[in-house]
Amino acid sequence: MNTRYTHQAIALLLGAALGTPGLAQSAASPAAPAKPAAKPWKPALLSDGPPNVQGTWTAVYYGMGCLTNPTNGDVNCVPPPGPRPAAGTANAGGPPSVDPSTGKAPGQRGNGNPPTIVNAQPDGTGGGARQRAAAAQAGGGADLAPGAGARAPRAPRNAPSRIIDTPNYDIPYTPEALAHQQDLFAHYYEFTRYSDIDPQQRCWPLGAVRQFTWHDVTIEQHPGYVLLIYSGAEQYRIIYLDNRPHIGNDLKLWFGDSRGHWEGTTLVVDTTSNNAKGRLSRAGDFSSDKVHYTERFKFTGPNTLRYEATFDDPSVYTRPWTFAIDEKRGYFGGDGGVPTGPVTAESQAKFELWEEACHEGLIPGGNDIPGLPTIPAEYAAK
Amino acid sequence: MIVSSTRCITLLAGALLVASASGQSARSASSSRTPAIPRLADGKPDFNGIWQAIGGADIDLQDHAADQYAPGAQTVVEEHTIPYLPDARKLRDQNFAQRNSLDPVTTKCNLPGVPRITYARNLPFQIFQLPKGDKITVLYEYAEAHRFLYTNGTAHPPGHINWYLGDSRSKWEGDTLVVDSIDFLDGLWLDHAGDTTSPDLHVIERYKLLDADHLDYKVEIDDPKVYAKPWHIDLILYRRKEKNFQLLDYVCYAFPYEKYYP
Repeated sequence: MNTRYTHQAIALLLGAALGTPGLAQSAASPAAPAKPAAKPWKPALLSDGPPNVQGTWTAVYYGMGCLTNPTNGDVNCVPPPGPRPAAGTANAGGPPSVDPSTGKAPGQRGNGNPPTIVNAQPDGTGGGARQRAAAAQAGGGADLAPGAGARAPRAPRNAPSRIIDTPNYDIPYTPEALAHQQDLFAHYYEFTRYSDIDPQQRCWPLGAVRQFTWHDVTIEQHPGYVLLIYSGAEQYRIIYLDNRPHIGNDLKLWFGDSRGHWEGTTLVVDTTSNNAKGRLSRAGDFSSDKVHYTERFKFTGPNTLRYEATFDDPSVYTRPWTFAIDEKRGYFGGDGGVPTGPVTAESQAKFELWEEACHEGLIPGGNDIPGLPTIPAEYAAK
Repeated sequence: MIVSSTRCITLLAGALLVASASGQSARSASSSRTPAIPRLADGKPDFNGIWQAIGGADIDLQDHAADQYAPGAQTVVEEHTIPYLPDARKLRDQNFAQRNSLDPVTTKCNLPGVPRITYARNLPFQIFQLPKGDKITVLYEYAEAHRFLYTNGTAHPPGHINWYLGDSRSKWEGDTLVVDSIDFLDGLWLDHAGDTTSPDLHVIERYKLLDADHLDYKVEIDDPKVYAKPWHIDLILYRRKEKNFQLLDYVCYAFPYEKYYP
C-alpha cells in the first residue's frame, strides 16, 4: 500500500474517533448530537495577521450531481418512481429511470438529507472520486468500500444535504423557479436546447460556490489577497482583503466580485456581481445573476474547513438559504506532481498543481444538441 | 506549500508601490542614474501588481500594417524576422492565409502557450510574489489561466508532457527573473499570424524591472524542428495604475453559449 494512504487513513480514523471533524463541527441542526466544546484552534499566523490556511483542500463529501444527497453519484436526488423518502431517512438515489413514453427522466426531488444522516460515507481520505480511482490503481484502497475500485460500479451512498437551514434541507425555490429547475433536470440526459448542457460539461467556471464541489482547491495568501486556484480545470478566484469597493453590480463575473475580511479564524466574504452561469449542480439547480452570497470559510482546525454560503436572491428563492460543504486538507490532488514517500510537511510542500486544460480537450461535438448547429446561428452571424 | 514568515515588509513594499511609485522614482533619480525598483523583504525585485502588454505582438510578432481588424505595429522580434526552416516557413504561410479560421486562440479560446499568454488579446495579468516564496504565481485575465513559476530550485519533471503552458522553472540572475519552460504540446500559435511551434519548443523568458512601472520582457525561443536558430522577442509590460483596477474575466470559450445561461 502506498504510504500516503496509510497516513491519511490514520488521520481519518483519528478524526472519526474525535467526532468526525467535518461533520460534527458543521452541526447546524438542533438534532445534531451534543458534543463537548472543542478546544479552540490556535492557528499559525502570517506576519501580517491572518491565520495561515495555505495549502490544498478537498471535499469531505464530494459530488455535484444532487445537492440534497451529494454523493449519490447522479443527478437524481431520489430513486424514481416511488414515494419521496421521509425527512431524515436515507435518500440514496441511483441512475434515473427514463420514461419510455417521453424519453425523459422524471424531475423528482426529495427531502434533503439532514446533517445527522446516518450511514454517511465520507469520500476516500485522499479526496474525491478521482483520488479514489487513483488509490485503487495505486494498489491502495484501505479506505475504499469492499469491491470498490476503478472499474467497480458506483454504489449509491449518503451524505448530508448541501442545504442546511431550510426545513426539508432543500432549496426554497419559488414555484416558477422550481419549474425551471425541473425543466433543466428533465433535460440533463435528453438535451434539446443549448442551455441543457450542464456548465461543468462545457468546462466552464462553476461560480464561487459550486466550484467547491468539483475537485480540489489550493489556497494562497498574499498581502491583501486570498487566491483560490482550482483543480479539475483552469480556474481561479481572487478574494480582495483591502477594503476596496465592489465593482458595479451591472458588471457580472463568473466568480463574482469578492471582498473579504478575517473574523478570527473565519474568512468572511461578500460576493456580488455573480453571473450565475455556472449553476449549482448537474440537476439544474440555479440562481439568477441577482444572487448575493455571504460566504464564511470557517477554518475549524489545522486540517478542517467548514464552508458556508448564504444565498440571497428573491427572484428565485422564497427565503435566503445556506449552502455548506465540509473540506479537509488534501495531501493528494490534481493530475500530477504527487510527492512520493511518506506524507510530511516537507513532502506536501512538494505537491505541485499541474495544468488541467479542460475545454481544449472536449470531445469534438460532444456537447452538440441534436438538430442545432454546434455554434448557435445568431452567434455565428455576428 | 512553503510559507514565508516575513510578509509585513512585503505589505509595506506593496503599499509603497501603490501609493508612491512616482515618489520612488523621483527619489531615486536624485541618488542614482538607475531608477530605484521596488524590492521585497528578501531583496528580490518586487513584481507584484497588474501588468499588461499594449503593442501588436498578439496580432503579429513581426512588422505588419494596419487592417480592418487591428492596428499596425513594428516587429518585436530582435532579429527583425523569425528564422524559419523552409518547411516550417511553408506551414506558417498556410496558417497565415487561414488565420481567421485556424488560430486556436481566436477561434477556440485555447490556452495560448508561452509566451503568447503574456500578450494574448493584450489582456492584463497579475503577478503574486512572496519573499522567499517557492514560486511566483501569475493569474491571467485570459480564460482564467494561471502559471506557477517555480523558484525553489526544482528541475523540470520527467517528460515529455503535453501542456499548453508548459512547465516553468525559474531562477534569479541578478535582478532578472529567468523562466525556463519546456513540455509544450504541438501546434501552438505564437500570434494570430500563424507563427507556430513544435513539442521541442524551449522558451526562456527574462523579466526585469526598468523602473517601478515597466517590466522589460525578453524571450528566447528555441525549437530546432521549426527554426534555424534561437530567436528573441523583446517588449515592454506596463503596470496598470488606475485606482481600484482589478482583473476581470475573459472566458472566451463560453462566448457562443453563455447567453443561454443561467
